[in-house]
Amino acid sequence: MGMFGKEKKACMQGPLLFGFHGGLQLQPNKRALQNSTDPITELEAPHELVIPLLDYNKNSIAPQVELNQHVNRGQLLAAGIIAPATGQVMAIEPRHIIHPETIKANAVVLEVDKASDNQSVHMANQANHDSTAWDTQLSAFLNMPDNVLQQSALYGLGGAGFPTASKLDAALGGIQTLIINAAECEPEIACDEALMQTEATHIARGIDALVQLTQCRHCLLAIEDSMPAAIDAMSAALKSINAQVKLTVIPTIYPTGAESSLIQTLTGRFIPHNEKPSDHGIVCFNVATAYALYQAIGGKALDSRVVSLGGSAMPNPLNVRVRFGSSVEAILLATGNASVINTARLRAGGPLSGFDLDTPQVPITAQTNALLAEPCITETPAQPCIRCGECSDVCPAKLLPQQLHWYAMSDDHEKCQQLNLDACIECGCCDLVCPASIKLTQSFRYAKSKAKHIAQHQQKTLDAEQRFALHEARVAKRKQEKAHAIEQRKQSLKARSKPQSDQIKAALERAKLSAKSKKPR
Amino acid sequence: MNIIVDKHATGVKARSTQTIMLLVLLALAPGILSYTVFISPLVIFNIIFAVCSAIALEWFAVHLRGDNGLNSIKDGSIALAAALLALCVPPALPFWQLFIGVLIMVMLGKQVFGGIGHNPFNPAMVGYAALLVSFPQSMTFWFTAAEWSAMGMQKPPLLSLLNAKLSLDIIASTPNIQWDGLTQATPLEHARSLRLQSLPQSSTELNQRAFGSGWIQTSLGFLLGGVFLLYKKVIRWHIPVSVIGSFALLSLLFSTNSLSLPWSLLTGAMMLGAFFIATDPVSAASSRRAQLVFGTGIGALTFVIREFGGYPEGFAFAVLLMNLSVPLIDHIDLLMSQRA
Repeated sequence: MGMFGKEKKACMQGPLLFGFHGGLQLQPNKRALQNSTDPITELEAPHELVIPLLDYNKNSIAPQVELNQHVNRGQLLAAGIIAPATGQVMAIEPRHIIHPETIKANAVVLEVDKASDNQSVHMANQANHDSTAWDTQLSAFLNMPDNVLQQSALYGLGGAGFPTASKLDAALGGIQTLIINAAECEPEIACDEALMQTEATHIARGIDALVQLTQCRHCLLAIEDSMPAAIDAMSAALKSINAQVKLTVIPTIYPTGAESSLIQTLTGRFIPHNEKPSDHGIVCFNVATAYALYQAIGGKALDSRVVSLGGSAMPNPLNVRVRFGSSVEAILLATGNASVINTARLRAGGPLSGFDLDTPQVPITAQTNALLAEPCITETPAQPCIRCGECSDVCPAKLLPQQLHWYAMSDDHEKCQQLNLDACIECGCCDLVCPASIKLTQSFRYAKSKAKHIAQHQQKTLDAEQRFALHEARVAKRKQEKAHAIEQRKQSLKARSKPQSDQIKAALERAKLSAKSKKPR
Repeated sequence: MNIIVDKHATGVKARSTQTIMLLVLLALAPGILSYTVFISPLVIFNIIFAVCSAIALEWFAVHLRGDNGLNSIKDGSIALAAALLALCVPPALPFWQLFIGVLIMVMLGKQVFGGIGHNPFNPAMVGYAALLVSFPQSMTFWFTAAEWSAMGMQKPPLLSLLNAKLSLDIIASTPNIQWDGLTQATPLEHARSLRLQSLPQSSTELNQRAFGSGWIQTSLGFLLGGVFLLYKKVIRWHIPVSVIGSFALLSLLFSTNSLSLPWSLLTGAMMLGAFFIATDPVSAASSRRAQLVFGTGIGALTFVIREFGGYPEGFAFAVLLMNLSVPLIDHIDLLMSQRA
């Protein structure tokens, strides 16, 4: 409780920030914003959209549409997945998805009907401009929030892509602090900054809706000091609708945008990785999610996002709004960046949190915040660790990366757990400062996936053991039942045979008696 | 091959291992300079000899292991270790003995464990300790430029000293130099022998002697280099502060030595050790908290050995003993951070 007292003071006196352990000051280098006149360029839906049938946990889900079926924009394709455009289902087949490893997943392939899709865009824009309806729409949403959340398939647009509805469910009631995350500390990524510059009023309304829905005690909008235009736009927008939101300007230190680092910066609380912010009365939403909520309340489902095209090899860097399911290749072609497909190294996400792509034929999802083109490089080979400790100085999770690396490479999972491997947020700070060019983050990802694999294997073994035990029990039971049945049968036979012999005896008796009685006659 | 963290795109350029080692070597410069001026110019020859032989031996050892020896030399770590060893031994140490020290440093201190990053002990201190127990006479054989005149003797020319260093036995080979009056001349050793013989100790006399010996000036040179390393963030404050702090505290409370505290910090290997030797990251503890424990241990053990031990200077043994405790310190530190 004392913590909130402090926070209140912060609200009144101006920014009182707590900061977090480690982190790095990086050059923002936002080419997507610097090199183009329009903050965001709207892209038409490409000819083909590929929508992977995967849920938040990357488990595949069953499609609710059939081959050759005509679908409208916003129609459900599967549970929680909607069609980003009007068109026809051409195939339901495994396709490459956007993933660090080149893997395929079952996907709905949609051939976009451009004529009717353009019409849907036009209608959606009209609905958006009709601002008098907002108050009624908002009160309708506050009365029945689930309707809107289910229909519009809202996902977090930050990085984890958590379903917004479940996050709100967990948060409803006990929320003290609502945090809107507009920190974009990673170089090259400028999608949220561009969104705030162009859609400030709508974002402010989305935030206001979240404030009213969660009934939080206070709401903080955190923007980094490197985005003055976005700060001006948002503060004006918040003032104009008189929203109960405190705009907090935070220093640009990577990775402030990570949920745990941001919460620590704003509230001074360190939330362990195995606890949720909502356990502490805190919930975080990305600023783009607030905008998506605004649109959803207005009846427009979440089917597109802003993607920053950047990187030193990108000839025409800019921010584009693209439909989910558009392939990387189609986006590069449509923006005049086709040349990079064969000449540069393509990367999804930022230089630190992203990953390289092996093929440009992968579809954009809600989590894809940037596409970078970087020159092909040969990496400096790693040298032995000299245990200088720079990595632990910059680690925002307060880990000992050099020791973790040692145990990760020797597959010592017990020790990795002891050193709190699961708390690693894979921000990549340790890699940046390592004098020996060791690929620390890579080894942590490897160790994590290995641990997951082992856990799955153990679970399988456990399940099999359980199944076997149940099978044994069933067999034993059946055996027992059989034995019991035989025993019963025997008993009943005996019981039946007894009366029989009695009857025979009785009959014999009667015969004897009758014989005796006959004699005297 | 997938690149996980794209360093090049962030524009961050980390300081390489090589740069770190070169910065430390650079930071040694003021100390080496005052050593040359105030104690003996022979140290320059010792450094050159040790560095060259260490590089050759390192190349040879890595080559034997089947790796590229040049890569290993390039990181500069063995050159740094050799320079530190050369700064710790007496200037008049015969070259062949110094070579044995370098050999042990490279082979038993570093390469048997797998080269850079894998050695549990500070290689320079392994070489030093081996020399100290093998050649106790020549390893406690100090003289300084100032003492030559203090003893009213003519300073032998550098060339004849160098010539003597090339011989097997330095004293026997230079009958024209009166070595006897010069042996056991470090201020620490002097204070210790006075204390052991229960002779009256005049603190002003001891302090004057310490200053005259050139040790104070040399230590100040190393201190300057240490501050440079702190400023450049090559080292952090935790180890030097805890080493000097614990040693100073124990000296204040329990010392029977009449050498005043600043003087006892500035004579002997304390400054060189606290900033350049104990801070070797490979053989030190991992976390900053564990480093405080590690440094405190070195300072305390140095005091104990100086006060009660058989050697006038205990820094090398203190470092080696604490290197030995690093796995334990790290383990306890981990358990404590888990409980928190």
